[in-house]
Amino acid sequence: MSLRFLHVVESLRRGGIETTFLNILRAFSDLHDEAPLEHHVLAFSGGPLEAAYREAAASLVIASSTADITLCLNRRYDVVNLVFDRCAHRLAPLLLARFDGAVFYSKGYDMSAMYRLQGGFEWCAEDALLAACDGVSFTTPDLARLYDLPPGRLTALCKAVDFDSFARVPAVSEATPNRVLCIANLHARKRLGDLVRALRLLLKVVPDAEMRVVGEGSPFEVEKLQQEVQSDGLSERFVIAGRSDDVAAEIKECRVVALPSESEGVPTALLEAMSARRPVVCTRVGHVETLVTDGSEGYIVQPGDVSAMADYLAEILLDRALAKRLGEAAHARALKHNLKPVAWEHLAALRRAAAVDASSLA
Amino acid sequence: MSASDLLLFGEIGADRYLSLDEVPDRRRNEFVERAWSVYVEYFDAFTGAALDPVFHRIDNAPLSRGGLRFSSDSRALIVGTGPSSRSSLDAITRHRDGALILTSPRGAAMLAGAGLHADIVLIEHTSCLEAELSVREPAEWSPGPGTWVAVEPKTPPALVHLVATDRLYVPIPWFGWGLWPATAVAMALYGGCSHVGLLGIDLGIAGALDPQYAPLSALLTTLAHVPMIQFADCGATGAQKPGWPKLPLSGFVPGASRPVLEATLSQASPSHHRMVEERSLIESLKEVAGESREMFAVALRARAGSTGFDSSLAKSVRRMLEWGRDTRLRQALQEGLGLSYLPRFWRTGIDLGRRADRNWRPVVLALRELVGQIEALNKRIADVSGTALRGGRE
Repeated sequence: MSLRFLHVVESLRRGGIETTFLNILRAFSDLHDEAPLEHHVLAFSGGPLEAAYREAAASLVIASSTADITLCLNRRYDVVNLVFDRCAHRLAPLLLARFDGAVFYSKGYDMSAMYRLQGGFEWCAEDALLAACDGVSFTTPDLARLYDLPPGRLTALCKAVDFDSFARVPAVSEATPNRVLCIANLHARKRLGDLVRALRLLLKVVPDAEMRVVGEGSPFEVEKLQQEVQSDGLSERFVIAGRSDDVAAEIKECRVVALPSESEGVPTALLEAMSARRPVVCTRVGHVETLVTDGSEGYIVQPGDVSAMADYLAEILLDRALAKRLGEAAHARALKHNLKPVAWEHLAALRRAAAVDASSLA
Repeated sequence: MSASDLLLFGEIGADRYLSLDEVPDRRRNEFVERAWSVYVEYFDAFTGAALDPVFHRIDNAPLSRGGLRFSSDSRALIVGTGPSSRSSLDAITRHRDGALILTSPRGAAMLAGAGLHADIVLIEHTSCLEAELSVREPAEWSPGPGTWVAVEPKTPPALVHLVATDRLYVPIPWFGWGLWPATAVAMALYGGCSHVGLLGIDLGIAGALDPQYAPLSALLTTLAHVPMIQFADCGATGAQKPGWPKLPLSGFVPGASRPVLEATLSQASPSHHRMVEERSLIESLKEVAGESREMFAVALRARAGSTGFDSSLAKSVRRMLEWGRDTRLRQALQEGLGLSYLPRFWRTGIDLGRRADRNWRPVVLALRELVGQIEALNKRIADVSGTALRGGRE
């Protein structure tokens, strides 16, 4: 029996979830199944990933008005997969009231989950949504435990990374510059100013160290960071590179990846670095510790602890054997988040939701 | 068009009506019908902007309520943080005295960087989730000596406490659809401004509208149909906004003098009066609560795979939809409990025709929220009463 899936995302911008889901969608297409499967996508707004999504999906609809969305939903789908909370809250009521197919909520580390985990924000509407959908997935068991759901309806998935692509990045060599890379959108919660301060300390022990930040940001945030770099006289050593279409090429030219954020979920950037055998230095926030054990694949510091961050970066840059050991451990750890097995599990969860749907016809 | 039309604009945004038919004929006109079609097309006929599902209204201290009126021929400039305002800070400084400035907390922070203060800072959010984001990532700003700060009863206390001013108030009437620039425009119009300008409300680049801002753009276009008012978009860049012709800031405030604000405010009811109202709300929903718990229990059994509940579920669906026909009950559930799903079902209906075995889904969705919200409100009332009692003993 063929199955038609509609995956709903909020936008086609370059962001953690949009990029991760694109990789999952591509992996779906590579998975061989006895039954023909069609994967369609609905996005509420467009963005730079449009061409990639068009290639990966059987069809892509970009629609924000009620009329256009309803038109899209009226084509028969066996499962509608709502990716993250904003999509779910917008469409689930309509789907659950008027739609025959199964409704699946792919709940990652979205805003409502993050606040629930941090404490102080309990939102009944979210619990109701999770209770009413035919299936729910989370990206870590910790998140799943926050919500009171019957086991048969929930799946705890891993965060996925395109391991194979990043594993092909050449290992660090003598020619690799003493570069620290940070892959992050420029936003206040990423605390990129801490990298400027860390670099100032790092240069005292590693005089040829350099820092490179790759990611998008508003002109305001870019200007703010540039001002910090300039006032510290670090313009030669600290580069704000902007968006990159080839993260693997960026990782190839670095020895270590740093992420100084005060708030994270399960950072894709760390997994990409780890897949490419780069050790990481990051902060003890969110679910980072489901990816990294302090001293094993890299080091973990408290947000804002600039001197600890600088110390660990120096250690990695100066001790080649240590860096290699950490990098190999990181690579092995990242393999557990390989895209294909995670995509397979995700697809299995979606099919179970459809099967629940089909069995209730019996 | 009259002040009453703006009031109706606010009521539509507050989800007071299930259909345009509920609006009395005498109040319906082209402006109102335009607002309604925006409501349906861009907001799925439900904004959720008035919902207070985390009951911040209980945690907030009593706030002054009322409105601000402006001197005749006043100009209001709604300032956002888009690129066109960041590049115009010098111009705003030069022309500061020519217009009232209304902005958001992030706008106030941007203006403060240039040594400027707004006349009114409006704190408004589309949902409790967006409000929580503002609490956890607050804009760094503080009001100037003459700044009025407009909040809602549901504004998180953490944001209200950041503002140390006796110029904090809840605007009555409220025009909010959850999108502060549109609310600010409506406030300016209701307050008597004859000219309303936008700066830094870019909504896109190089003339093209970013689709995520389509709802706000549609609202601004609707408001620009208010007659006898001059509207202008003073931002050099940004999307075209129908009804808002481009005009440089110097043209919008040509030698105008500083408008004068006059506040008409009254004190809110003391906390213990409000707690009486909350208890009375719970009491009024006792019967609905009891029915809901029973129907919810049945739906959960159907969800678990038990059969034989088709007609009970169908009955539950019909009962939930019936509640929507009682306007007083509807208001209690929506505005009192902050429900979002039942109100949506009242608008979309629930399709009973096709798959009876699926009817547990909308019942679980709506009643899990309803039962949960009643429990949450009861707990909040108990917590506040306990705190008050301990305070009394001390």
